[in-house]
Amino acid sequence: MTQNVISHQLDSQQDFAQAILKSLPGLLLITAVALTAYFVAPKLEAFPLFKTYLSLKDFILAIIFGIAIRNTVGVADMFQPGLRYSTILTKTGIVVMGSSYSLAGLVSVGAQALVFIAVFLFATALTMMWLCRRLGMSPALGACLAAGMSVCGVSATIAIAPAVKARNEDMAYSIAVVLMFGLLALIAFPLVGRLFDLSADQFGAFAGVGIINSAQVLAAGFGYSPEAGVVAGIYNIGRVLFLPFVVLMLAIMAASQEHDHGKEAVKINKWQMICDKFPLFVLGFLAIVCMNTMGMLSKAEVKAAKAFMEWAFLLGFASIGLTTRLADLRAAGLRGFIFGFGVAGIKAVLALGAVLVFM
Amino acid sequence: MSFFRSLSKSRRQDVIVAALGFAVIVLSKFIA
Repeated sequence: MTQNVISHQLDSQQDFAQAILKSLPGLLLITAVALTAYFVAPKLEAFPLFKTYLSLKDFILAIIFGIAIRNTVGVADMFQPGLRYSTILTKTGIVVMGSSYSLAGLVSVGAQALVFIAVFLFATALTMMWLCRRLGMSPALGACLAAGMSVCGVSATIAIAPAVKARNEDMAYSIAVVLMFGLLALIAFPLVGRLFDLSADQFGAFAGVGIINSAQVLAAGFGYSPEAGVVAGIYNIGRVLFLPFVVLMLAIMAASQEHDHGKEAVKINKWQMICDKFPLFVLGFLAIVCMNTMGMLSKAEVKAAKAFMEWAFLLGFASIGLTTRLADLRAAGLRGFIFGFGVAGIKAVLALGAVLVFM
Repeated sequence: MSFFRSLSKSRRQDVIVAALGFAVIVLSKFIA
C-alpha cells in the first residue's frame, strides 16, 4: 500500500517535470515577445503619430506582435504547450492587482462600477436574446452571443455553452464576433479616450464597460495609463462577479425559448450553476486588498508587486496574441461581423455617453 | 493533494492563481 502511494507520487512528480520541460519553449517565446513589446513601445513614442494619437503601449504591442507571429510565420508545435498559461498569467495579475487598492478605495470605485456594470450587462444580455430571436437564430446561439457580448467575452461563451447545449459552431461564431470587436477596440478605445480627453477613472470605466473581453479591457486600460488600467481592472472584476448570474438568466431564457419551440428543455440546477460559475480567484484579490488595508504591505512592497503584476499581464497578453488565429474569425462571416459590431458599437457609444455624463 | 485533484479544472485554476498571487506578494516582501 505504502509502496503504491510512493510510486504514484513519483509518477506525478515525473509528469509535472515533463509538463514543465515541454512548456519551456513556449514560455521562452512568450517572454521574447513580451520583452520585444517592452523595449519597442518607448521607441514608438519618438514618432508624433504614436505619441499624440495612436499610443501603442507595451501591453497592446504584446498582443499585436503575438497575433502577427501566429498569423504570418506561424507557431511550431513544440511551442504550443507553453502557450496554455495565458489565463493563469492574467488572472494572477488580477489577484496581485489587489495590492494597488485599499478597501475604502475599492468601495468608492467599486460601488459605482457595480451599478454601471449591472445596467449595461443585463441590458446587453436581454437585448441580444431579443434580437437573436427576432433574427431567427437558435436560442443556444443567442445565449452564447448574449453571454459573450455582455459579460466577459470568450470565458462567458464557454461558461454558457454546456448549459444551453450549444453546438461547436455556435461557440466558434460567438467567440469570433467577440474577438473581432476586442481586437478593434484595443486600438480604437485609447484613440477615443484621447479624443474626448478622458481622465483615468473615466477611461477605466469606459473600457471596463465598453470592451467585451477581459484581456483587451486590461490591455486597453493599461495602454491608456497605469491608473486607468487599475480602474479598468476593477470593472473587469465586477463584470466577472456577475458571470454566474448572467449565465443562469440566459440559460433559463434559452430553456424557455426551446420549450416554446416544442423542444425538450435543458434542466437547470440554479444553485449549483451559481456555485460552479462563481470566480473563486476574486477572493484572492479581495484578500490582498484586505492585507493592504491592514497596513501589511509597505509602499516599496506594493511597488514591487505592481511590477510583478505588469509582467504577468504582459506575458499573458503575449500568449493571447500567439494563440489568436485570424482564420478563426471567418466563423462569424459578414452577417456576424455586422451584427456583432452593431451591438458592441452601440454599447461602446452608450458607455462613453454614461462616463461623460455621470463621472 | 487528493482534494486538489477532486476539483474541476476551472476550480483548480482558481486555486493555482490565488496561490501564485500570494507567492508574488511574499516575493515582493523579500525584494522590497
